[in-house]
Amino acid sequence: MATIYDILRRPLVTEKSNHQMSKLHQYAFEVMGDATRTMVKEAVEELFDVKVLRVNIINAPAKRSRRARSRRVAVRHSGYKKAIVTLAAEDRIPFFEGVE
Amino acid sequence: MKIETTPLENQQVQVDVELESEVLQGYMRRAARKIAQDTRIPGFRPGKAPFDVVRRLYGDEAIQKEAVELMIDDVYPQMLTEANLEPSGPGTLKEISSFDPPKFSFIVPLAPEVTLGDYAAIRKEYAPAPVTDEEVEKVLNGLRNDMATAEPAGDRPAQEGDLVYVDLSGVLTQPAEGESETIIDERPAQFLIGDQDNDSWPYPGFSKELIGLSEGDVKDIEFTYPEDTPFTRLAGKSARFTVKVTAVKVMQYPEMDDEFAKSVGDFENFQALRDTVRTSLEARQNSEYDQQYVDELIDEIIAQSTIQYPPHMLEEEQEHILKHLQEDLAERKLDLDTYLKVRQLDRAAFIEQEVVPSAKKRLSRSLVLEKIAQAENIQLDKGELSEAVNQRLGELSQSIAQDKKYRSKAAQADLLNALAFDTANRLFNERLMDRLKRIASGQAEAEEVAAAEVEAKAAELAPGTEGGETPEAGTTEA
Repeated sequence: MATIYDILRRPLVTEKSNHQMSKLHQYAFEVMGDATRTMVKEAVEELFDVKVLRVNIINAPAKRSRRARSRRVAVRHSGYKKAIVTLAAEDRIPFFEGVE
Repeated sequence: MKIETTPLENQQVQVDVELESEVLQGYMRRAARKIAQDTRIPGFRPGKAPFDVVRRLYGDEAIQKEAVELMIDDVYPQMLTEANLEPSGPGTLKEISSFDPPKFSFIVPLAPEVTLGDYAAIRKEYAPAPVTDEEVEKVLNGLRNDMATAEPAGDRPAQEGDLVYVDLSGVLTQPAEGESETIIDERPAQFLIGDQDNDSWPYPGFSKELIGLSEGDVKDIEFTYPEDTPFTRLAGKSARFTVKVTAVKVMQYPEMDDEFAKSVGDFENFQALRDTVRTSLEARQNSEYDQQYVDELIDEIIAQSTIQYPPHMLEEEQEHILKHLQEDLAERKLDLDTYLKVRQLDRAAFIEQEVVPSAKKRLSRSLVLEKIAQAENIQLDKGELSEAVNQRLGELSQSIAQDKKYRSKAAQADLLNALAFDTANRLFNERLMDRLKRIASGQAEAEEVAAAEVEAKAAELAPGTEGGETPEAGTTEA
């Protein structure tokens, strides 16, 4: 049985997520493969002590590419499930905003 | 910005700058942006990562370091204008005493300061040695020897002044073990008996041994080399030379007459040749004397003056000398390391013992000369310069046209520039040396007196033109 500590795998910090965070108050995580919206909501509320308004979940597909230097070698990037969590206006997750 | 300057020795200034801490913040942001631009941060396009992300990845220290660099680039020129300093070279950052608020101290080298002694009061006797008749005679004799022809002497034995053709071979009488016995394998040679100038091979005085031999004679000559012979391999060894005379010839010297003068060159008569030899000898001797005279003079002026320069100028001079040395060595197919090995010096000692003193000397010399040029108001005008450049261009045009290197326009322009620069330098130096010579020999003083008289007559003569006018006025009156 998965606990709430297993659900959130890692925070996603990218240009896009940064924008969502600062403008839309949304935080992005990579989550467990069979997590649901409800599970993510509970986990975020519990761990960061915030109020979650909405969770959007997207399955980022696996991708194949070739290695930059030796173009023959094919590389496989596994897919992951991404959860975008919208928080209440007064809440924030300090973890995302640099070193506290 | 708070600035505090403390003068150090050697024409350097320490400048302490203190800035407001807000300024630092701005630079920190700029530094973060720069770091983001230069490195790849996953999830972000180059240059798009925000400050916080950069800070988390690289830490405050890295950003601070970068920020300080950026800041110094901006602050340094600003500081120079505000502190009213005129550096003579790049300054160095001595230390960063704190980041917040930012505090730096720089060391800025200033222009060298030269205080000339009373150089105008130095008097030195100017007396080039006159060319003696003997010297002229010697040159003429040399010419005559060059024009001499050798006639067969027949069966007569060789005497002083003859040219003897021999087959020469030489062996060591007691060769050391493993040493080759032969010093000279049998080979033809010729000796002019009693010739003072070319009489060192195989040993001094060898040609005298040939007196009395006639064609076909064979003679063994024993000789022990002294310890101090220039042929170091043979020092202290005895050798036996075998000569076989193949021919004895009598030198026929041309008569010293008008005919001879015509054959040497395009001279009308012998007197013209003699005069030309004399004048060219005089010119050479005078220029040598001038060089030496001025050198000594400058040394005296340097001794009188106080010269202060920042250390970086000395370093530049050292590098200049080293570079020159390396070029010279490269021409002889050597490099500096081998040269040092041959001299049995290591690099540091070599620089300490040889480069530094000569660099010091060169530097003080050039600084003093520059100052004198300023003090004496020595200038070149454009017309003179272009005339001189054109003249040299004319001399060189032949070789330039042939050289493939100078086909392109750019190379020609480069050459012209270099030529102009070189000519200007040369002219300027000539002028300066001449001026110095005049002052020290007392000529200038006489001229000034004369000039004062001229000036009294023509009161409208501006003082600025004095330099140009006096030499002519002086020479005519003095």
